[in-house]
Amino acid sequence: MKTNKKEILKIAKKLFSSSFTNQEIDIRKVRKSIQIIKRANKRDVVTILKIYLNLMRTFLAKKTLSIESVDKLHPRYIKSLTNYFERSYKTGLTVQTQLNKALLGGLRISLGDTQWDLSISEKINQIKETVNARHN
Amino acid sequence: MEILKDFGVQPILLAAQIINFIILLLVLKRFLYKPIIKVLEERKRRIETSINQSEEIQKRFDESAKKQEEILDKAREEAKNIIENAKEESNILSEQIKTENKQSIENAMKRTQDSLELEKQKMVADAHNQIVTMVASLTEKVVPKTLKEADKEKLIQEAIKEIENEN
Repeated sequence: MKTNKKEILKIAKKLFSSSFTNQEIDIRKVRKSIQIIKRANKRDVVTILKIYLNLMRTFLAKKTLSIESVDKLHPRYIKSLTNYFERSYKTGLTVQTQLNKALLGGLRISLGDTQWDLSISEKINQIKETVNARHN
Repeated sequence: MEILKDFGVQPILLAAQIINFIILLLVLKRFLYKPIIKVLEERKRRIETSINQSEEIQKRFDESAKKQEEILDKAREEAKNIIENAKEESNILSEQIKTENKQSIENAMKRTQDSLELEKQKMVADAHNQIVTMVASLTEKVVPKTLKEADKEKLIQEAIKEIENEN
């Protein structure tokens, strides 16, 4: 019998929350959760897995600090930002740096769903919108 | 008596003639005059009736002709009124149509003017947006070439400061 959507979501969430030790992902528990998913009803396996992976991605995104800059950032700036965010969010973070010439200057920082765009390209866009809004 | 003889009148014959005449008169009166008179009376009566009837008919005919004339006069009067009313209404209608046409033309002109004004505003806004986009695009092209290392450093430091102050 096909399990209904609510039950599938419940199962996926339960498996997700059981994949942690001390608020950190435990790889052994993740493997165990995958084994449990494999044993589920054939029709539901893919759905449960998708939800589980989405939950994992969301969690990891919240734990990943992404820093974009035009040129390679000096390590002291990276450390300064990492310390600041770890203090603010009271959790350890993984840092990812990326080069993005489109920024023109400044930085763009992302953590989970939140983004701080302090680049020159964003400032130019804001000025453009302000001027257009005033005229229109 | 001698006189009567001289004239050749015989008294007995005369008396007999008189009596005959009286008898004839009486017979004629009884059998001729009365029926004739009766017939004549009848005829007179009929003629009178006929005259009366024809007078009556003539009177009625006159009355009828008079009524007819009155009806015709009334009809002529009504027709005249109808024609006058129709003329008046057509004048009013023609005035109304003229006014409506004028109003309609004025409205169409106003709509056209409004439309042109909107179009003009839109063109001005589009031109403005294009200019702003061009300026932004040029700035994006010029900035990387003109920014020095020191400026880049300064920008990063300001960005970090801004994040820390925000939270």
